[in-house]
Amino acid sequence: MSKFDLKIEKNGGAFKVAMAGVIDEDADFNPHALAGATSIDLNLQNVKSINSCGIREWIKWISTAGNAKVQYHECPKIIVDQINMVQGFLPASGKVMSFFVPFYNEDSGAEKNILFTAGKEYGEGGLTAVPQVKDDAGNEMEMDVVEAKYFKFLKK
Amino acid sequence: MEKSKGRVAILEDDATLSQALQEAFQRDGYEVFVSSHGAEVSDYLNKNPINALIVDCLLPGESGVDFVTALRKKSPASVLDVILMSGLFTDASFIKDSLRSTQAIAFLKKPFEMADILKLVKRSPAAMVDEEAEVSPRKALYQLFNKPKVTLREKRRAIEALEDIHGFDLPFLYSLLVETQATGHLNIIGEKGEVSGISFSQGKIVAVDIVDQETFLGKLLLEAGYIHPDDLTEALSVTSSKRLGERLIHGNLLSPHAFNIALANQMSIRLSRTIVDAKVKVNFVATEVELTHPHIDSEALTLFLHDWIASKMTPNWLKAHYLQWGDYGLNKAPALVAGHPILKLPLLSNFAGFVDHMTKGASLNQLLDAKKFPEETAYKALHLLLTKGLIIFSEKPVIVDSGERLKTLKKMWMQLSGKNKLEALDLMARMTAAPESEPQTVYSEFLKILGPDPSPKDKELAQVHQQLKKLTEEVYSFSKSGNRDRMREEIAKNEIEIKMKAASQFEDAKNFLQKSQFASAIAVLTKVSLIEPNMEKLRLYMSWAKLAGTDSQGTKAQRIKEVEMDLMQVPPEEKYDALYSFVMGLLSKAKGDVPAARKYFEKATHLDNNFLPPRRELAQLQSKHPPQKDMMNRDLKDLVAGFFKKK
Repeated sequence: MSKFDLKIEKNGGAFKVAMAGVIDEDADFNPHALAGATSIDLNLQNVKSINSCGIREWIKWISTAGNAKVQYHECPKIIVDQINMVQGFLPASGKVMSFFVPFYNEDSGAEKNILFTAGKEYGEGGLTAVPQVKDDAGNEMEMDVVEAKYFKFLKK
Repeated sequence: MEKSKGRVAILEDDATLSQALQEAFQRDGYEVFVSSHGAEVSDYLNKNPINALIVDCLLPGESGVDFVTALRKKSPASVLDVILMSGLFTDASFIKDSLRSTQAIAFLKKPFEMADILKLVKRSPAAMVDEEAEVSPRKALYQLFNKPKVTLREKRRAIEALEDIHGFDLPFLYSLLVETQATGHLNIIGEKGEVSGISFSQGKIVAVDIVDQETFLGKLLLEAGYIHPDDLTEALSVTSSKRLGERLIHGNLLSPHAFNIALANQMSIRLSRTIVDAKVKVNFVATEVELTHPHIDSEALTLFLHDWIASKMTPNWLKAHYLQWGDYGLNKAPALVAGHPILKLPLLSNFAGFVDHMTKGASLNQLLDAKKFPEETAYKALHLLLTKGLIIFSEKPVIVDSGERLKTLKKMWMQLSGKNKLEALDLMARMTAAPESEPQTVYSEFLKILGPDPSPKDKELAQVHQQLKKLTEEVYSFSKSGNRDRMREEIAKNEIEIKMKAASQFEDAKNFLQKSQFASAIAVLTKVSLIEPNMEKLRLYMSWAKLAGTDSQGTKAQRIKEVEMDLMQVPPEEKYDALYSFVMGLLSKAKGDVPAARKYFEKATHLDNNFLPPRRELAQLQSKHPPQKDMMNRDLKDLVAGFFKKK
């Protein structure tokens, strides 16, 4: 089985894309050009890793979207890191509709990924609310990211 | 008494909420000003610097959003953080528009948790000075080797906390990831957005991906003597979908083992190319990565670290980098035992007793001031040991007397004087290991290095301390003004002009060398080295000029020494080049080693058939010293290479 999987459901110009697995030099985006799309909803929940070759391939591929309205959903942390650092990873007019934020409790070592959704935990410009997250023992958990860096893309 | 974390102003007409906010911030150590009138808040802001302004969007008779928008003319977003709040206007479009027009850092819908708003307010730089626990992200990274075990999370957090790092920080990162057995991808984003990456598996570097995909493979195979130039030319002339290595192995022109060695060298060159004198961003993606061959392990990386530190890192960068550690002592890590292979590398083997001297308990400044070793080499040797985690800094500064402190402050003043504000900010950022994009952090970290105000009785110390403090404040004010960007543009323009001038002079020097006008070449190359010390191949051309232009025996011995030092500073990627082989040939010739000289000149002609100087040298050697053809005079490397060649 391929370690990279990309499926596109086309409904006229509306493309629903689900990506999963490892995005590296073996990930072949060529059969999945986005020409003809008017809107693209990209679900990234199952993306496991991305390396530099994968980042370059991604930028080439997403640029084939042209003027389509691009929205990223359920972005894992590794994708948020690239959005924050790599120009063109999210097209200039693209939007992040939801993304995961890791939480951690220092004492129990518990880790959780919490989904932040546009309009709920954040809006354009910044966070609007931080949910209270507890581990299985009821201990309060803290965001396990450098906030100034991780949420930077919200201000773009 | 506990020191105040700073000031917060609250513009809110709801007395219950404003009182709750006031109490929460006061409990957290802030001074708080509360009012329900914009004019009063403006008046307060004119007289008091604050950390954050918290504003309700709907006030009696005025709009909080309009108030902040007007305020921005005097207090831009880079200077004042604003948090908006509202219980009434909470629809998405209002939030979006108000965040945009006010450049507020957050919009909180009422009701909200006090903990949320407390998290959003940054402490003032002055308050941060006193907090020993606060360590800058870069400093925290370099302290990781102090821990007996580094967890994956600690590694990830340390890397994530870095904003922009310098390309010269990368060797440390590579070493850290190797020594802590990391598995995953380190993605590196350059200043122009170019993306490269290093893949690690169980603490071994298994792949290096850089944008410039020049393979070097042919040159590497020729340089190692694994292949004859004619065979390479033949393989390159064949049209095939197969890669060069596969073609050579398939054609029985190369053994797979030799090919693996060449691939490992190729990886090392690519790795070396990532270490640049520029800012980069990094992120680490922890994921499964297969352990493939060839790979670079800790032992091999040590040699590369040595070469990079010797050849690429500038003394100025190292000096600024270590300034923050000036008062710290150094300790040997348990792994640094007598006979450790690292001690045999040139940076350390040439300076007997270096490790013992550096770990005798004094502060770094005291050790360097003793001038027992040449300063530049001492910094480089120290950096090599610290990068490998074989020497670690003491957890706390060594107690130093006021005389030592004066020396340190004077050194800082010397480094900073004569610099414009922007250059001073950049240098302070390097000295403090804080990101230059965060002037507030640079400011607070620099004040930490300066330390508390000395007693007025120490007149000279108090005076230098005061000078530095004043300069820090001036640089901080400058960093918040628009002049910073304008000045940066000016400097960039000037730098381009200077680089163009250096490039043109460099071409002149090459022409002088071709015409055998060696003294003129040395004069011009010396000028270039002052303007652009890291110009590609500068050291090689300089070595050529020095070796070829030396006649008298006395000067020759001195020149050979100089050239050997210069060649130690040649980066790995320049070593697989005809010019390097040619210079090595000249060096061998100067030392009287004719067979080695002949071998290097031949290699240079194989690497670049159109490069004439080695041909001329070979012709001269041929007439003066005709080669002997017996087996015993063949170089061992040639013999070994012969075994690896199938044909």
